[in-house]
Amino acid sequence: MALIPHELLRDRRFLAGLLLRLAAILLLVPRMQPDWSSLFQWDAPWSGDEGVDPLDSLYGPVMVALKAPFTAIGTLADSLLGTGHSLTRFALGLGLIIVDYALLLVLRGLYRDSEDRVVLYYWLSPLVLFIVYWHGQADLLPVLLTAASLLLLRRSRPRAAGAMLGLAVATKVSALAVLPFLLIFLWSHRRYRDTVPGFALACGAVILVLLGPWMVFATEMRQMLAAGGELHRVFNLTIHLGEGQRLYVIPIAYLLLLYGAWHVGRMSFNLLYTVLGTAYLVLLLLTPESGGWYLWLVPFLLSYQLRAGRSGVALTYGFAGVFILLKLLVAAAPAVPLLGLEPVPKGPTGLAPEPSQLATALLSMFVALGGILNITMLRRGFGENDFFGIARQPLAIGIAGDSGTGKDTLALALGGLFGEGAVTGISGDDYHLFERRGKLWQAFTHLDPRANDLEAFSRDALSLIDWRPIMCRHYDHATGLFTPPRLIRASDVVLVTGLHALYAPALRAQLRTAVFLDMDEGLRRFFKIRRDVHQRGHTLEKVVASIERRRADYEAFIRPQREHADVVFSLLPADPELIRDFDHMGPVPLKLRVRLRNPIGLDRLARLLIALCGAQVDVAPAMGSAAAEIVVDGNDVQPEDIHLTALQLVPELEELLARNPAWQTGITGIMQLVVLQQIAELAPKRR
Amino acid sequence: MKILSPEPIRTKPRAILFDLDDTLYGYERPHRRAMDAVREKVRRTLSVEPGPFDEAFLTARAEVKRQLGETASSHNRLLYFQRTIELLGLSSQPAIALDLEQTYWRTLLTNARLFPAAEETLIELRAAGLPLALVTDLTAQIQFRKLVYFGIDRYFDAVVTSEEAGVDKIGLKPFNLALAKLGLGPNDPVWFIGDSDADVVASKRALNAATFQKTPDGSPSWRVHDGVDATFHSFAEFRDWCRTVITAG
Repeated sequence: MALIPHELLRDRRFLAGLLLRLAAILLLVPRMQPDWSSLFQWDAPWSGDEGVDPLDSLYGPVMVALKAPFTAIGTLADSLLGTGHSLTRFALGLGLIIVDYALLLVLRGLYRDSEDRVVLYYWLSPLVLFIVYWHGQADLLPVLLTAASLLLLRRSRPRAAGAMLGLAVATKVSALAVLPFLLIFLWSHRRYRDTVPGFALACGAVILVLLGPWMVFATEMRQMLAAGGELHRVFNLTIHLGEGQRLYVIPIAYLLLLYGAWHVGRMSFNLLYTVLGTAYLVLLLLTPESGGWYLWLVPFLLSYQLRAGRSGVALTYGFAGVFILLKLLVAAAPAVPLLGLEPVPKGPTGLAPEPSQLATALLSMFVALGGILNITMLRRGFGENDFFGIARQPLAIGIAGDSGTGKDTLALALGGLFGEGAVTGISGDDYHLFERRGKLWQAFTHLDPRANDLEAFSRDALSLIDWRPIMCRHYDHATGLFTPPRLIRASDVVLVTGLHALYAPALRAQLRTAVFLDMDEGLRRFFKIRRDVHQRGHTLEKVVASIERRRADYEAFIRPQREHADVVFSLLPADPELIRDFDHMGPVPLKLRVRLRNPIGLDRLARLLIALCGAQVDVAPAMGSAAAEIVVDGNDVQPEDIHLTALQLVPELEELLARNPAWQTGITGIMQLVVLQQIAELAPKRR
Repeated sequence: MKILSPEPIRTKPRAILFDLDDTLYGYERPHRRAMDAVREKVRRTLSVEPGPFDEAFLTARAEVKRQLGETASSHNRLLYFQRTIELLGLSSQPAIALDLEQTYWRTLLTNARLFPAAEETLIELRAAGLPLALVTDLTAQIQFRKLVYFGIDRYFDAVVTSEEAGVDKIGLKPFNLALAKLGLGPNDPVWFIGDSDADVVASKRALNAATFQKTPDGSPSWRVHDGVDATFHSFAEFRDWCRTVITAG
């Protein structure tokens, strides 16, 4: 029984849902039911005069592949036992349950953190049970393939995802409606942009291979393609403008939805589900008589149910309840041959004195509830999605600190998380006023704001944060000269680094996260003396004098920026004795002190560092005016530890990062984690 | 909740002792994922396929257990991996053994979840003034990491590992040590909640504890260990039942 996970086999709700399904295919013969006479048709009207459009029930060759084995076995059994078509029908019903179960597994994969509730909201969904087993809709297969495509995309397998969507289209052409949304999603997100060709080519190739030959040989396929599955309904709803002019409402709505998706831009998967759910719901509300769209909505409705509270769940159940009542009233009930019950025809059922009025009232309520559901889905999708808050404008991170504290190392490490092309940067060094040989350096240190064009620095940084490109010269550390100005384009992440990155209030206000890098004073002296005396040959006295000269400017202009930082990293010597010996040339083990202005989440960070990374962590809570801080000894921490810890600490940010982020080892990796945590913590506050 | 012997669990205990693995969280699923991660790493870094690795690992584990008997070290993954690498003909390789051990534990932890309502039960028992202790086999380092990861370290007044006691729970000493840490005497009534046969037998023998067996689910197919006074599969159910006894007591 490896096909069914152990936990499902022991889940009574799963077993109950399975029994309900088995009972349904045994007892009920829906008005629209599996048809064994045509390979391409799944739904067959009980009688031809009930207004069901036969085009709704036409499917492509993938459905043929599903039907063939079940039809063959059922037909063989029927002919051997003389049971008419009963066993064929039952066999096809089993096929449907298998597809249904596969969709459950795919949805559990898509919503992995809520596997348990997926069983409740999907497997026991009255909407699914009613549409598939009572009403006899077989769109489950293309829905399964579309959901599987989303799952493969999520698992970074774009070509397989494209091929899967191609299969969905080759099952039912209406799956094409999803394709433009997925292309917009992939293109808008730099993380996925390079996957667009692979995804699109695989999708197109599968469609061509599977549908091409059938187009030539099968009349029904040509009919389906010509009608576009259920897409032919899109032209049913029109607005008369007079003088014989009409507007097609649904194509307009669809294009507006696509524009909306394009306008949203970079989306997380949850936001994509919201957008797709909204699109299907709008199409559904505009064509409420169409059966197929309801099932297409199910995976996205599930996403909403899993994230919405009780009121959201109640709303979806209310929506489903009204839909079921409406269909019970206006659509034919299935036959129950084992009990000798004939199908109840479509139309008045005698349940109400004026069923047409009741049906109208239910339809109105259905549309109203659908509208409310749509609004709440959108509100929740956009309003509660941290990613959307973060993704609307570039993520600006400021990194300030004295020379030699590791600003560039941290900037590179953060850049590696977001990926090449997703990061742009502006460095304070490029805004020094004088070249290295400039005489005014005798009057100023680099730390003095007067020696830097801080106005231009702030203006350019703010331009990048506002998606505008800048022209900027570059200070070449090798020559001490400036290069000619070059174009710097805006991108998803803007790293603002420099001695004075947190100096200007206007710039600080636009930074998502402000980082200050500090270093234990003894350690700073040790590194500088070791380098300048032993490597550059300066005298100790001269080096110490230089340190003292800079120190006053550091205290006056650099250190005060600490107060504006969300996070202050300080490098400390793990062994203070070691750095008293300026002749020590070996490695110097370091510890990292992290001070957070907003201490929420600090305890969780410390716990994960201890538990997952095996790091040694001392936690000091905020006391009076002193900020909360942790001191981490984590030189042995590996990039894989950092990666898994990030998945636990800030799962919502995963989609902001590159597909293969460059996690760092040791203290730099821990800094990556802290900055990400601050980004996540500070995002809702500043939205 | 199934009561098998009402008498020992009728009154409020002086303390409650918990096991950790498969009692407060499910071990099997995260363990499988952790071993998958280790196999993948071994395949990638040592070019050893999962089949030969599994074979060597099983042999290594059996050897370590045979050699160390019922001690905390006999459960030490680092020793299992060290011996596995040796059996694969690659000499000791401490760096690789450490890496595999860390891969195993971090993957296990990231996939482990406390059972539903387990934490709420601990909170409620603490709020009722009951001292709680954790008595568990394995080394302190990893069991402490688990407690910290789950954030449940704050609920226990005493934690005893078999590493600290020098012998596994089956040797009784960890239970006596827990009682001493809680400042209780041998005649004080205590409850023990665990999943394994050996734990139940040992806690009865060492402390004459009232014993509760945590089963993975409500299926009647789970074997009830000899001497168990009650079984439960859901902590919510256990907590609700505790309310009646503890409030009445």
